Amino acid sequence: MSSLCMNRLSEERKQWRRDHPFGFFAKPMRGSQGVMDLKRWECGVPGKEKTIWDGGLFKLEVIFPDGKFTPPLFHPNVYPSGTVCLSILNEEEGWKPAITIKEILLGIQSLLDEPNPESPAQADAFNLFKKDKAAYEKKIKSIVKDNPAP
Amino acid sequence: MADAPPPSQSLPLGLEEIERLVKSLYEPGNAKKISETEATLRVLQHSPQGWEIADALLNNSDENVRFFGALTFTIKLNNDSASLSEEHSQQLLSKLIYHLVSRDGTSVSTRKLCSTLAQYFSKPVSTWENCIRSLVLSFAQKQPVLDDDLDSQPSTWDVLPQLSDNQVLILLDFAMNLSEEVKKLSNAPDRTPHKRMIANAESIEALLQVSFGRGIKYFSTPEKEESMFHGEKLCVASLKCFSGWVGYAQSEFKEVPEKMQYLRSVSELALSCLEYHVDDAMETVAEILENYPKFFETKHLNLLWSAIMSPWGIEILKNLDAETVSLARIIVAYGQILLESKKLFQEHENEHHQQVMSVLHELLKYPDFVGVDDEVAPVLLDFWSNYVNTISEESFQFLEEDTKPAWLEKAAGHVFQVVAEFLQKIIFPPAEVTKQWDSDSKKTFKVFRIDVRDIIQEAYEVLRETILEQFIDFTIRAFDATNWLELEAGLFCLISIGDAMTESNDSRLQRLFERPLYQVISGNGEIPAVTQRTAVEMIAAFDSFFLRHPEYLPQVLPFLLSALAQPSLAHGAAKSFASLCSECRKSLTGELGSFFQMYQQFLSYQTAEEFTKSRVLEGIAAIVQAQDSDEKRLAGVQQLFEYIAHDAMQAVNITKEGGDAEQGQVLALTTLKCLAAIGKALQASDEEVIDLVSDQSPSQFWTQGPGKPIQNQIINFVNYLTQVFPMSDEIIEAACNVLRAGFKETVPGPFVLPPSVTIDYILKTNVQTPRLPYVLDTACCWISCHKLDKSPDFQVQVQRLLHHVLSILQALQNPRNDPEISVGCIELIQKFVSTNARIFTTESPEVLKAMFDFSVECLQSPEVLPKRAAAQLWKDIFELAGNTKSQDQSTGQDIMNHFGAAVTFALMYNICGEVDYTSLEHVLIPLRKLITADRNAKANITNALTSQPLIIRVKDDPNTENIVRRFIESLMRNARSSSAFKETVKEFWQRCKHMQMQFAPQYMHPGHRFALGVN
Repeated sequence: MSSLCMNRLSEERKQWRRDHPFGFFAKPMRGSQGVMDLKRWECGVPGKEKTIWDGGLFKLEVIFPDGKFTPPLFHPNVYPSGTVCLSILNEEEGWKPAITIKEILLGIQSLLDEPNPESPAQADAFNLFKKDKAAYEKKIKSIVKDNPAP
Repeated sequence: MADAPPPSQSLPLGLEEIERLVKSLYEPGNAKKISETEATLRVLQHSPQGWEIADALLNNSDENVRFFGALTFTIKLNNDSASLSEEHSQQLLSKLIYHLVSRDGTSVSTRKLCSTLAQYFSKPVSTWENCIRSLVLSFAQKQPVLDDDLDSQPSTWDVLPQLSDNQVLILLDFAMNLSEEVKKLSNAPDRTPHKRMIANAESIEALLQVSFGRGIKYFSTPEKEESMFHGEKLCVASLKCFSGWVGYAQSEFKEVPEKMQYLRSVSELALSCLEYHVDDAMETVAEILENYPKFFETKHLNLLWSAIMSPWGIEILKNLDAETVSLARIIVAYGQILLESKKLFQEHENEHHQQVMSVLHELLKYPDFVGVDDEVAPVLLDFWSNYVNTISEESFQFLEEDTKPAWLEKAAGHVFQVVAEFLQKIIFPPAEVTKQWDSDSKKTFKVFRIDVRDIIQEAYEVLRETILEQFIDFTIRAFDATNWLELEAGLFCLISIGDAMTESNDSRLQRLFERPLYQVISGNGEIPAVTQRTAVEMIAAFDSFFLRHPEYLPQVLPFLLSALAQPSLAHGAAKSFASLCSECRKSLTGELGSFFQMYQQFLSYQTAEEFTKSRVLEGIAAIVQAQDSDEKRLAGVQQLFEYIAHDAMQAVNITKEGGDAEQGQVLALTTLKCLAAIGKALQASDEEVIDLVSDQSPSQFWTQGPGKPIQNQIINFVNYLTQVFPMSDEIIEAACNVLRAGFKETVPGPFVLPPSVTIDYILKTNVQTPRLPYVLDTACCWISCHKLDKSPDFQVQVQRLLHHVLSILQALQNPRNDPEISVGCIELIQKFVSTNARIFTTESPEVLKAMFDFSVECLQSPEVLPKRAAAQLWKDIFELAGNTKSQDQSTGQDIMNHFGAAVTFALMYNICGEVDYTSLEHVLIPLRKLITADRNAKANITNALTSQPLIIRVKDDPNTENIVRRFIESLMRNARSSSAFKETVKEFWQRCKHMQMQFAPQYMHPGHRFALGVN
């Protein structure tokens, strides 16, 4: 990774500390030597208030600029591997290096409650979402219960 | 005034009528009438005569009418200014200036005119460059003085003092509008407006010097109250203008850094506003420091710090109020600048740095609570988290003891001190205080604690045992003093660093745990709920400690049981219980009996529901798993199953006899979830698996021996409950999870069921079954986990599964009827290909044809997921066909020979512009594999391409043949290199997309049209 890019990530970290949305967390992971790896971030995205995702906190790893839920999340736009399919994360669909971690995480938070049916990533969640909204919502609520925000 | 630009035409309504309409907007009247009037006026504003109307309205004596005139100018400027000639533009400017300078006052309409003029300046038609100087002189002469006449005029410095306060205020307002308006053009390629802005830098200096100077002079003659008022007004406006220009210059003065001097020279005056308590002065300074830390020079920073340390600053710091918060922002930003330069810690003997650090510590010592009164501490988080992180990063560079510089120890001292200060701040206020908190206060306090937790984690990297020792001392002190809220804070800090604890920390932790901490907490009703909750969380965070020290379990477990009884704690307690039992299972085997008693007691609590029950049973099952013989395990599982069976029976009774299917389903779900949790806990641990790598044939204890009834019970639970609730998605999912619990096991166990069980279950599903994709995924897992099984029984089961998939495909007919079920089927077929391809040889050609044709349909379907799954399937088939090492190679080749041409056609169909970009990557992979595996690939590709509808459409174009030929050659040549191949396909795909759009652009998504450059 270029030093320019690393500089940006380090700036990113400062920005995040200065101003981050409520309930989110994001910190660079430490490598085996305990040294910070600014490319790999450990993040948490809370469900939006007043949605079925409210009260949950979902952990994901961001390896700039890709996000991956750990463990994989039941959601129409999350691949079975946990990788999240967010258009702002996709270079061809508009990812600019200037997108900040805050924007990525806020984007993921919005995606939680507003799945993009144009871009399905897992059959199971997408199928339930399409076929039986009530069952889908119930399932999400139980996931929220298993991943409570502190 | 001269004619209005463009040439006047007669007005559609008389001017008087227009004025009347404008005035009527401000009179009370009915809403319908007002909106009608607005619509009429809007039409007039947008009409060609709008310029003239605006001009005429501005001559009116009514303030509202004039405002409307200025507004109309703005609208015309934004909509129609591009069509103005240079001459008209100049006339327009004269008019605007005339209206501005011909009245003395700072009314709303004047302010609107300032913004109109600033907008004019930013437009391409603007002919104005030295706008500030031009306005200064226009004010002085009460008539427009434009650029061309400026040379012969006296200096701006000389004229400004002659202007009235109001005129200076208007100039400041205009200049501030200017900075905002032109900043909006930051990203525009045309730099002209910025060049014009830069030309005004010197005039801005003059304006600000004079305005600040005049304002401050008022303050120095405070005897008249009126003069304070004037001073405040001038200084507030000057500060606004100053901060607008600093913000503008930060991004747009990059090419002319020397011009920054004109703004920097005003800093001293701006900073002196602080001590006069000018409104927003602190916010303005804080914002500049935060966003543009390099703006102030050292001398200004020194000046700022002496202001902070002056009686003015000290007085603000003494009592906590809104001003303290603003000043704290300045101090934090000031500290950040020093921290950034590293001087703050490296030059620790510097007295100034020591003073700054001590102020930054002091700011955390207000006795008020965060969340309500203390808004300063959250501001300080920013500085301190940066400080602690910086020191933590620095300390990694000096891991060897003898290389550590002296400053590092001092810095670590600050880290230690600040953690102690934050610890005081995160202590929960007494209940009578929190009871009155609204949700915002609670949220603020919670967020603050989380941020502090992050600082503590980082601080641990620097301080290690020292800070652990500190937390333990604090916690013990609080416990001994029965100060339960402080105890909570101590535990909270310990949890923060729980993950970092290793055996080497145990002796320190033992100091805490050898006290009857949990006994006391569970026996005392006065202990606040929040302390109890944190105590519950503590257990899960320290379960590896308890594993090393099982002697503490007898006090911890009863505490958890009591916590399970309390609704607010039950959830966390159940989780902590499961994790603790799982971790310490081996130490607890002798206590299994008492765990069952405990469970019995737990069942009598109201809190015993699906989640808590499944977690508690999971914990107990882990202890059962750790028993040293199958017989003992069997006894344990039997007992666990008694509880499960009870719920299952109830579920059926309530549903069938009680007629309450809803409640029945809840109990059925509880049964299956508990069963799955038990199954998970009973999985053999890794070490046991390694022990069992031997030639002995696996034990039949659970499949044929005494354990068989247990397996039968599992099968019955799953089958029976699914049968009672066949349409419940949750039951289906939970049932699959029970089956999955044994899949990955390599040694026999109660949940390691015969292969037929899963298949029996799957065979009962059909396209109507809810969560069928999950069932099919379960089937995929089943194949993956059994891929080494060569037994005849397994082969029989695989065959049954294949037939079932075929029947689902038959029911579906077309992938579009249910794309996700189609995906499940295709993925399952793919599993057959990769693990057991020979199975296909036993099927009839018709059956196989139907199956593979379906996958080709998937490739051609617009549905994303089936397309990708089918591409993956064909990639595997082609790979198999080319794999000389595989025993199934010939099967792969047979399939390829039969379906290669059809698949190639489908792939080409996608590449000829049908697929979207994100799926293109998936589609090109099987194509590349096909080329490397199939001798006929080239011929197939050629045929497929020439029969594509799109290519047929353009076949008469003389270039087509060439393009197609070159594409095929390129494909063949680049098949060994994935990146070159991808490029080749992508390029051709883009070309096809272009052609497609030329034929039918209206069908294209506008975004795609834009991306591909097609209009």
